[in-house]
Amino acid sequence: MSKKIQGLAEIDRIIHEPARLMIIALLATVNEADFQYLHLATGLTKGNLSVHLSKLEEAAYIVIEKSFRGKYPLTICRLTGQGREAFDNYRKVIKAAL
Amino acid sequence: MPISFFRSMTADPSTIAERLVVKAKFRDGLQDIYIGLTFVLCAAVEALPYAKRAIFPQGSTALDVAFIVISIVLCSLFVVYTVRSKGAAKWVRERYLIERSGYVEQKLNKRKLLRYFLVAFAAFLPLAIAALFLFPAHSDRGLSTATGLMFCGLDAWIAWFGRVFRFAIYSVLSAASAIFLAVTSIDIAAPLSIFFAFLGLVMVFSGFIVLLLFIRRPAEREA
Repeated sequence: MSKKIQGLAEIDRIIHEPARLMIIALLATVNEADFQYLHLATGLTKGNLSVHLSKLEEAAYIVIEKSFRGKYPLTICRLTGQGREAFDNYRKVIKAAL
Repeated sequence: MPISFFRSMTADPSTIAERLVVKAKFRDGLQDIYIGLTFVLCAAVEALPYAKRAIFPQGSTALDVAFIVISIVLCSLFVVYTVRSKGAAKWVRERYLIERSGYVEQKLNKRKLLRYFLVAFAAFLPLAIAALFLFPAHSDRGLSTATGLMFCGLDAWIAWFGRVFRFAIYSVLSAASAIFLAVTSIDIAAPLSIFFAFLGLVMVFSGFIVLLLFIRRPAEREA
């Protein structure tokens, strides 16, 4: 039991932050989603969401494709294999500890 | 902010995310219209032989041929609708609603869909058998009662899982119409058609209201 609790110390802090956990969990259940969808689904402000997406992209957990729909910017986000693996590990650690 | 969803550390984040995806799917009312129209078409196909017997009790070869043609047209319409309607809904979403709802490509989990189908079938089967035993003289009435109770369960699940509260109303209406069909003394010719037509029209009407309210919301853009 104590080993399982100690596992929490090695938890992935990039995913552990609630806003990023929400983004990763959402992207894990879909193929891809745009910024607007994530903004509506998570309830995060656009600035906050943008910062968290950048952090997840830096960690190579998601890929972000920027393009335009007409005159307006379009940002499509997708979970990478590394991101999916990190999310699965995170779930295993949390489930084992709780 | 739905971060409150994460307050309970025992809640599975994937379940919460799936809940948000279901909620997003039903946000614009298109799904209600799609399901409602499917029900109305089912009702039309189911009601055809009853309509023939009721309108032309004598019958003739020409009428038989006419009804076969109408049946084929209606069934073809049903097939075309089933094949094309998802594409049409996607086109409407991409053209008119994407700035309000955002773009998301759902992941098709065939194993999960099969599991849901098997659960629904497993729930329907004992209901149908029980209904057939309860109404041995009116098997179609028993079948429509079982169908109504099954859709009551399905709608209740969507209402609970996706927090789409209008589905709780559909669930109550399904159960109410199923119970009405079971206990009424009125001689109803095509109970299953009446059930599908009633629920389908309610869903189409409600879906249009939700869609209109959704379209009236101001569009948001990324920047």
